[in-house]
Amino acid sequence: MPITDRFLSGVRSRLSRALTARSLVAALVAGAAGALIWALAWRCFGYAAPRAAYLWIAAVPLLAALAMAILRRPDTHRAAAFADRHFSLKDALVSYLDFAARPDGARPIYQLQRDATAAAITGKDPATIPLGVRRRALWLGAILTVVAAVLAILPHSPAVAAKLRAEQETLDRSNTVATELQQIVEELIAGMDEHEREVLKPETLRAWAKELAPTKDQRDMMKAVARFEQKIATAAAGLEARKDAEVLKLAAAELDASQLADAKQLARKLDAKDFQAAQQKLGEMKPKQGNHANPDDLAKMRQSSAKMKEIARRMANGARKRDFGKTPANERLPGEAKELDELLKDLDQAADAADKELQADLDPGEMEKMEKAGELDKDLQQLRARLGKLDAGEKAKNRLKALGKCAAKANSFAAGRSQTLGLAQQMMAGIGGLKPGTGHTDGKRNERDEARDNNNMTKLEGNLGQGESQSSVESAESGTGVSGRGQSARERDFRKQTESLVHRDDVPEELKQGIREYFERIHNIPEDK
Amino acid sequence: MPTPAESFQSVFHTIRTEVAKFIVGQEDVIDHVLIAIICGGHVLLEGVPGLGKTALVNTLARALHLKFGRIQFTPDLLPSDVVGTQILVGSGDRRALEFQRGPVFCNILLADEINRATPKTQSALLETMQEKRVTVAGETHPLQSPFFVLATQNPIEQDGTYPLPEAQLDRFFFKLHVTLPGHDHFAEILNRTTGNTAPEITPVATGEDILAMGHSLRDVPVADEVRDHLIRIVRNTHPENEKSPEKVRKYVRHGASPRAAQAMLLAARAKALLDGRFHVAREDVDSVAAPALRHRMILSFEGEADAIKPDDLVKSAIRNAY
Repeated sequence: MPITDRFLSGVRSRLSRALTARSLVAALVAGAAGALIWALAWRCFGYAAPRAAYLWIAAVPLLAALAMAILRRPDTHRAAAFADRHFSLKDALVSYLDFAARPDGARPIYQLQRDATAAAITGKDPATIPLGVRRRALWLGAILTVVAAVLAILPHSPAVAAKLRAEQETLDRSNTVATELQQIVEELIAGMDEHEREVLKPETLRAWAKELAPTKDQRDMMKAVARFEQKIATAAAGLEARKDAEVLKLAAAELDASQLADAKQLARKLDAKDFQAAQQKLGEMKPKQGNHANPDDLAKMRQSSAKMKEIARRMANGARKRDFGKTPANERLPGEAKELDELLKDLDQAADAADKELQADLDPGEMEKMEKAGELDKDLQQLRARLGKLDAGEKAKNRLKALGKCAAKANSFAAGRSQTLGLAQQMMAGIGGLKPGTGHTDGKRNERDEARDNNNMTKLEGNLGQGESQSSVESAESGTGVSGRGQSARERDFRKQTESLVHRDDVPEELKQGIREYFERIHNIPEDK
Repeated sequence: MPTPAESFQSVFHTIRTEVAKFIVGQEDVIDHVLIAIICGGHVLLEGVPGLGKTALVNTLARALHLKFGRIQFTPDLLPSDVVGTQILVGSGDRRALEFQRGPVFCNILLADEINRATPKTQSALLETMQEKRVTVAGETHPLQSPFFVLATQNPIEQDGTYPLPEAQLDRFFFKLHVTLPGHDHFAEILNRTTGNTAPEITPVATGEDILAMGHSLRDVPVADEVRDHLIRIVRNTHPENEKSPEKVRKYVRHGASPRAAQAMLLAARAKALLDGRFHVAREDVDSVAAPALRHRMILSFEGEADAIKPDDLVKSAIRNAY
């Protein structure tokens, strides 16, 4: 290789090293400056700088520097131009390369130029080309690196550390809330019978529970729980069969005024909204068909029919006390169920007709005369079905109320007012006896707690004016009693107030909860059974 | 055997040394005049009176062993006084018109104070400079070879002068400024010229030597990059070129012609040989740019009004070419 080419190769290599060195120093300065800015940006807000990002901040300039060193590696022509300038060769090397590429490069004048160039570069050493690394830049990079490293090891500020702990705690709490509420919903769904599933729609409940996503923001978590609670409350309100309940309450009052023991028992069951027991009781009171030719059977049939007639009349009387602006039968949509009061009136008419049939002298052979009894059976069946539906709705409502209480407790837990959630215990409350601490003795037991299924029911009852009794039965004729509507209306008002409070964003959660507790205390709403 | 560069340098230095016996200082002017002569070009010397312009040309003519002619240009000078005329010669019946050669029939013509002549006379010299021949009465008379015009003009006397037209200025290879010598040179001039003895100038080179030198310098190769640099400089003197410096675009009406680029390249080759190189460097081009371009850039009205120096414009054109 000619000396000139070797010299050019040496210059090129030296320039490559210089470019690489300069690029690395620039990468050092840029990386250190980037790391410092990164650390300062975090420190300004009190956070410790995430250390993993330092790797990226260091890697990007380094890769860029290496890429630049490779892509901008000088070619021979650039090396020749640089060497001409650096060694004051007056374009000798550039001309050398140019002439060497010419087809007539063998001319004597070119040879003279080559010789002159070779002579000119003799004694010139490419190693004397400075690398161009500025000592000041090197120092700057080192100082920035040290400062960035120091900032990297500083921990969070106390305020930020506390905030992060709070966020983590909120996340944990929201996880707990979501998990437990979903679990409670699953347990609630598992405990539902077929009729409850029809009215409650388990998939909807699951979807509501799944909307409770874990979050670090306490406000978000409380809002989500409040929304869940609100949905539960709305669903429970949707299950309210207010009209039917009012009708049955009036019917129960009428029944209670009856001299018949069965009617009084049915009245108590209806008054206690124990619709399942009332349904069963109605089934028991259904007139049995016997042998009409047998005088004993006939007498029993007439007795049970008269009892049924009395009960149906009383219930119909109760229903007549209220007019809810019901839809006339001719305006009702096809398939729409009858109003309960209408059903009771129909039952009254059917019982009356059936009783008249039975009270008349029957020819045992005339079967067609039993058609009125068949109508009574049909109406009774409809009433029982309606009671079954009411029972399912009542149970579902109770479940939703229990779930709503769980949600309220979850909200309290989310707000940090309680350290444990324990929704399972909440769901178990009221089952298997009175609340802990309340206690009771049989002597002090409220005789009206018969709805509580504690296997310790003692009925103290008697008829007015007949013997002594520890309890007094106060009955009233139709129209003279005190309506229970006012209390229900107040309860609804309170519920509306609390729900509207939950909706408002401008009221702090703590204040909401405080107001909620205040209302609960002053109203002293009794626990649902 | 000496290389072409060595032969070139040897002859050049011999001539310069001989001229330097009489002319003190002005090395750049002497070098550029010699380079222009070797390249076959004409030189316009500009300077105040008394700086040795005429003495330089006289000395050069004596050192080169060439036939020297001198014309003192005045307003009443006629073209025939420059190129010659036909006169009636003979006696009795044998009388005929005969061409009487003018002073241009020489090797080195000193056109002293050329801007004092009328444009008509100046244009008579124009054909002579370009074509190197004289046509009178339909008959063409070639001039001797080599033929160089070394013209001088006085920049401070404006009354009664006729500025050279642009076309004629373009014929000059170089325009050189003869400046006031320094203190030491001043003292040396006084010593040499006020005594009883004067330096003896002897011819050290012939016309053939000059032609041979001119021939050899044309062999010096130029790299494409250097040639492109030269072209960029010349193009940068044009105001219509987008890459020209702002000053050029503002103060120049017309830029340098391709003839300027030819002159620059030839002169740069000569510079390279004088430096012992067989290639032209960018600094060779840069060093000859000012004498080759300064008289070829026609200033605009703004340039004239702001008294812009063409040399400054040339410098900016060079800077912009890198």
